[in-house]
Amino acid sequence: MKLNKDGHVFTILFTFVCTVVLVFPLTLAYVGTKPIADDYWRLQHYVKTLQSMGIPADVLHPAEAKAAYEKLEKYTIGTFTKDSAGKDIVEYAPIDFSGIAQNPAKLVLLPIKDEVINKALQDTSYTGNLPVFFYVTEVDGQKRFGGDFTGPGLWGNVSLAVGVNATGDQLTGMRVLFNVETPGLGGRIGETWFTDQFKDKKPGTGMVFNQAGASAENGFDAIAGATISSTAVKDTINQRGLVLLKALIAQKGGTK
Amino acid sequence: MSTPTYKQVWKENLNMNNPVLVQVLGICSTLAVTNKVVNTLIMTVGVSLVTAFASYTLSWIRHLIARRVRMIFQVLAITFYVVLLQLILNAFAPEVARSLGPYVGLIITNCIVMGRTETFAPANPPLISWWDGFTSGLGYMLVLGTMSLIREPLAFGTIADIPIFPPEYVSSGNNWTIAIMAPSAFFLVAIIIWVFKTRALKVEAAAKAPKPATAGGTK
Amino acid sequence: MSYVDPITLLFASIFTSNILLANFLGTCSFIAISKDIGSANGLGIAVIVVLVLSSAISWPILHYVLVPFNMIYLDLFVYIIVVAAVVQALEMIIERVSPALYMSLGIYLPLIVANCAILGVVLFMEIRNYDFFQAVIFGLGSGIGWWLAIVAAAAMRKKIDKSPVPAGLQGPGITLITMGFMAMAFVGFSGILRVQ
Repeated sequence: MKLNKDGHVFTILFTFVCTVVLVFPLTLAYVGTKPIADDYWRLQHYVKTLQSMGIPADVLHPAEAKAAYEKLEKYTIGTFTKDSAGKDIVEYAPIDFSGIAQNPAKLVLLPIKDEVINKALQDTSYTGNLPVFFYVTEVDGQKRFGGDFTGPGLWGNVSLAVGVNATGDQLTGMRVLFNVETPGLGGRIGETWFTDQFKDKKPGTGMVFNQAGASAENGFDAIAGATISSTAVKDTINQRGLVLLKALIAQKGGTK
Repeated sequence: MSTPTYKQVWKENLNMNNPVLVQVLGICSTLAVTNKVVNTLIMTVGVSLVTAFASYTLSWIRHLIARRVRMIFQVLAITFYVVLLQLILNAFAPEVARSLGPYVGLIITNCIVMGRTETFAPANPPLISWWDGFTSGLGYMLVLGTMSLIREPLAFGTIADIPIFPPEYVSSGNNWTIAIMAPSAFFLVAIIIWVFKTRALKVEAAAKAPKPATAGGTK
Repeated sequence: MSYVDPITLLFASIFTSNILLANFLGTCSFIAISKDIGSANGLGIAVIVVLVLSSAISWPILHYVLVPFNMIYLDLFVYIIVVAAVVQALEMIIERVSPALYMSLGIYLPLIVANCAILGVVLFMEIRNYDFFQAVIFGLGSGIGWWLAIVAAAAMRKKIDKSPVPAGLQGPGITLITMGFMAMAFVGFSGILRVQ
């Protein structure tokens, strides 16, 4: 059969063959580079989580950060189930924020290992649609609580790592794990000058924006020109983070 | 048509026929990525390399492909290099890759890449095509680099994240928020085009002397 | 799942985050075409149609093919082919169904494949993790925003043509400055936007 070089069949066939030929080396490149990217984001997650709980860690010391992260007790909201290969996987349950706010006993915690979180990080690396993870640890004989919380930003998810002290009335830190806000505007919520403001703040009934020139005990400076992204951070901390952390403390708090 | 020399190509692409300033191509990403020097640098190096290698490939197979499917192959080849670039950035510069967001992918529709692979590559041998693509990218880098060197200090008080203004510049809220946002990019690129074109018109007029200069000639 | 409600999203994508004036997408064809209101209108409408269709087609491919098979890294290949195919198909359909429409709209269709607004919107849809409904709304809003910007700019350029502009600034230069002012005006809309 002789193909008509100007016909549709030839064009479609040609496109198909080209795509296959070009996709092959790309797949190799992808398989080669994916672990490097995964390692990077996993380390970022470890370090930011630890920093939000007031535990020193930095990306220059990956082994130390990993060891410190592994020491944390970890929980999520969901149940274990089997995947098609018979392996345990977590099925994440939807979260009833207002229900938990009224009755902390409604929070059902599932103790998990690091692999669960690592898998979730890998699966959500491009969406930032992280499930809620809780961390409990002890620093200088005092309990510390932390968690990863995701809420809506202007353009997509905003994931925050938030840590509180034993009683939950003071923040130990905050870090932004993921955001796709406008670069240079809302995207600045990820910069440390912004996130560092939250350290040692006493949220009381909830965080608020600082009025011009003033600095309240529960206030932080919003980003000029990025009200919606700043509000997203505030709401995610107040309506999700603090609510769930309070319930966590009700269950796991107190002295041993 | 004779093959141009390397020097000619260099001069054309960086100066007389600068893709951004004269042909007004590739404006989209010109504007979007220029509020940080580091982002701009990585983006423009990416564009240079993609243009260079796509031109090389297109020129290399220029005799083998039927006219009708050339366009398809062109797009697929460009996409190939862009995806490769994206994978490399994801692995070795993850923060930059995330803050550039879709703009790396959008190199595909960057008119500079399209333009060079459409006009220069099919008519010239591979190596000079590579060089042409690369220098086009450098011409693009020249303009974008200038813009980011103006925008970043005004917006964040830094150059390549190194503070050059005292910290009060940002913390007092006196920094130019507009330099982060879109309008500044439009104004800046317009001003650069203005300066460049005025100079080009003068050169033209000087060349034409003693005839009277024709002002405002270009369409 | 992302939580932005559709009305906010539509408003944001038309005004506060106009695809052209805030994200700079589609500037090349914008500068080339905005000389004349008629063509600007034609191209704008074509962009709206292609944007809605491309995002509606790309979304299922992304979520039912690329994600389950772990092939996200090939997204660009898929999207560029989808956009090209939508444009081709649309061109053929319009040509058969309504030759009159084809005469006025058809000539702009091929220009769209190289318009980064389309690919940009589809990529934003992926990065921002929209659901299907949001993706279509975002495509529609971005298209309307682009159309609005190009028609307004074309009208302004008509006036500018009669004004004394410095020689070096004529053509693209003054168009970019006009766009700068439009972008500033559109940023002003962000005061109206409230999320819940």
